[in-house]
Amino acid sequence: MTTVGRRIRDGVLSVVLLAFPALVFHANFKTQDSLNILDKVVLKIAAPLQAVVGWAVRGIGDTWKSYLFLVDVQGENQELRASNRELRAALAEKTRLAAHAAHLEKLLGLRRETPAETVAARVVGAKMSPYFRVTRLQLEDHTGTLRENLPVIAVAQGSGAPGAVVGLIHKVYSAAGRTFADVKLAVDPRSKIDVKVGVAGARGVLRGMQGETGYTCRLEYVDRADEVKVGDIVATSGIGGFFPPDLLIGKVSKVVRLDYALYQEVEVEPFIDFSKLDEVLIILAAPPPPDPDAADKLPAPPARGPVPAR
Amino acid sequence: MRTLAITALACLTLVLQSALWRYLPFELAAPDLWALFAVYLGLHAATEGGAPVAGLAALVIGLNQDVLAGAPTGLFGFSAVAIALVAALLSKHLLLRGRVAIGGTGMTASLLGACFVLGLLGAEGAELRPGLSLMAVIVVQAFMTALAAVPLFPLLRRVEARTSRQRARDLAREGLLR
Repeated sequence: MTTVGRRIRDGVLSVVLLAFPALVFHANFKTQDSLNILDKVVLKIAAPLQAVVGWAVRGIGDTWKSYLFLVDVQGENQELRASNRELRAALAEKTRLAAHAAHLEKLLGLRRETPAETVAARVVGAKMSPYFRVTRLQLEDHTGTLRENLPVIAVAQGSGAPGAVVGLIHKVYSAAGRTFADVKLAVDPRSKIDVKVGVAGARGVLRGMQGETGYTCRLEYVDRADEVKVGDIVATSGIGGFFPPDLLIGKVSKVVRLDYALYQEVEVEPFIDFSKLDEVLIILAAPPPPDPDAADKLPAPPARGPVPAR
Repeated sequence: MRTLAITALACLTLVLQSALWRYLPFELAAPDLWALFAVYLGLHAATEGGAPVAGLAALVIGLNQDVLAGAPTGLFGFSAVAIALVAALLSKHLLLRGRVAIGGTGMTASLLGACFVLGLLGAEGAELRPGLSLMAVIVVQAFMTALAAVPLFPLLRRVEARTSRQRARDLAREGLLR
């Protein structure tokens, strides 16, 4: 075929190719809603393919979104956990500080109520021995007046009593520029405190119970004729010179009165929870004795002005 | 064989585009891939069968686009054939080298396609309101088509090179095949 013939052929075919869709379009333009054969063929092939592609894309998209969501959730979860940990720690710290403040407030109240010079000290350790009950104290401020055999009191948590006897200073020493003191607790077997019991004022000697796991003590030399019952308050008598009178110690938890014995067997439960002891007060000096002539003494006359007639 | 492979690839690409494009954020301005395939077939018509073969392949692609786009049958078919024939006529005077030339060809094909489509619709008395919004869509679509042409044409050259004889393959690889 010559070039001209080829061109003519190409021209004719091009016109046919243009005319065909134009005619089809013209024929279909007014009746677009009905599907022709070509539409049906193409849709039959394309529609399932589109559905498969759409399904795959949706699946991939959903998986990806789920993954991103999970990643976000995981990150958020970690942040929340960390935040929760911090808040819990902060809350625990605040609670501890609040409890400590409340305890210090009570200690301050006890200090005000105690008619003697006192100094605060912090418990820094306890000697672990089943035979001896000793607690080590560190003084808040070094007064230089600390010595052995000074009484130690503390706030009695949950007992209703404002304060109670902890024990007696056993040793005083300095280390690393600080002052420490070992306190022989009232529940130590070596401790002997002259006490009075209940309203009747029965007398006895309080001693720690050796070898016991708990912090309990017993009363010795309580006359079997004295009226002592469970729940009676045990307080210092002031005899012996170490403890001022009327410092609370504990309450009677058990009374055994044997027919053949001279003395009653009395067990005492201390007001102080020695296992949770934190801050204490050391009584440095006993309160001044009451002035027997105080009632007769009148206030000094004013320096100026009229003097009232007696 | 080349034309058949490119036509098949075009139909598959159009199906994928119709299925996937809606997941993209710029759904309204889809590139006129049908126009790109048509113009490519027209530009490379001389190597296999001439303009009628390219026109026939473009017709298949256009009719496929008609169905996929939900347009009246023949609308995109006519436009694709017209683009392919115009490209075949101009192929002896064009040498596509570089991204700018390819992108410009893609943009021109898209705008030409829009003209054919609007012209055919206008000839049939369709109520057209070619306001600014339609013009803006056409321009954005042409721009998107230009962007799509940049990776598509080299891809089609590779397909062509794989499905051609050795001589044509070498020329296609060089990008000299017209």
